[in-house]
Amino acid sequence: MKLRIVTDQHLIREIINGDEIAFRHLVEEYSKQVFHICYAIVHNQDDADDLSQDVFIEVFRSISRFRSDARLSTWIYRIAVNKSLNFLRKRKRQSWIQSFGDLISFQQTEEERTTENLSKNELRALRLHEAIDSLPENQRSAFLLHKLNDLSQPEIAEIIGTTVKGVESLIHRAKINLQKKIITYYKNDEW
Amino acid sequence: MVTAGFLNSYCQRNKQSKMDCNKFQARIIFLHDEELTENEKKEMMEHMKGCADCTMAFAALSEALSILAQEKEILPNPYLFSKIKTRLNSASPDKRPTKTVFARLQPTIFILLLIISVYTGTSLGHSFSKQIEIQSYTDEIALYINEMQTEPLENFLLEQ
Repeated sequence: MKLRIVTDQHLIREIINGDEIAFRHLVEEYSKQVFHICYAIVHNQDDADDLSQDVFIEVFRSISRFRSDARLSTWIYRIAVNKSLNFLRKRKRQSWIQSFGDLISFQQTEEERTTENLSKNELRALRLHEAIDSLPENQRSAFLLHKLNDLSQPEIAEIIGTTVKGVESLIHRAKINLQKKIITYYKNDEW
Repeated sequence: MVTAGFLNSYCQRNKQSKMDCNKFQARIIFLHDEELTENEKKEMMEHMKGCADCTMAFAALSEALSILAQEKEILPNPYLFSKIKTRLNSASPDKRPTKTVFARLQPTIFILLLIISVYTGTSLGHSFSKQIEIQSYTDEIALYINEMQTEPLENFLLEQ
């Protein structure tokens, strides 16, 4: 396949006109970043893969409504963040129902079942994900976009809909909260 | 023998070092991310040299952040585009709204069913308790009739 260097506007026009090569180009261009955004938020490769598909399907279906005053990348990343956060909210509701069921039937909770057979490294990754998940949504998104996706503060500000100063403050607070959590795990011998 | 002066100075030193540790542990992540001034960095490195606990805390935090760095290496599915294409070809867009409407109505239907079942249960319970009352009343009457020496009908015929 011949790859072309194209502008966002040109790419959008081609996709709206039904050009499959243009859409493939868009997927290839942004798949890595979109996957990493989803993975950073949901911490599971299969879920991140499914979410990446959902993101590009949404992009394909609504690209005609894209306003050209924003950057295409920012718009796609915003869809990825929203889809991942919605997925987490849904999973939280389901796990609440599940844990309520476990409580009634006196079974082990999901966490007890998961942590029992983990290696030290896996347990540390789980603790880190717990610490990240405990951050408020805005702090979590800003921190992960900065740390895992290497996005600039103005880009993050555009994605989560705040100011650059706001992003700076969110990242700072996220770091302090994360640090507090990890040191607590370390002090309680849970690390 | 431990003197009061020694204890006092020991506590003072301990208190001082505890404060330093708190200050250190509040800024580990910024040391790791190299977001401190040269002076602050030097001060923290000095503290780490004499404090095993803070060195271990720094190691724990560095380890946590390295897990995040490793996650950057995970790559998306190489067949992502094919999967998207398959889903786009097979999905019917008009299916979605029906599902959403049903999903929205689900809690309402659940609450309605709950109210109906509670109401039915309560009314069934009421009618059952009334039946018991009527039953016990008729039992009482039957008892009186059985306990009579002569039947009222016999008395009536005799009188005539």
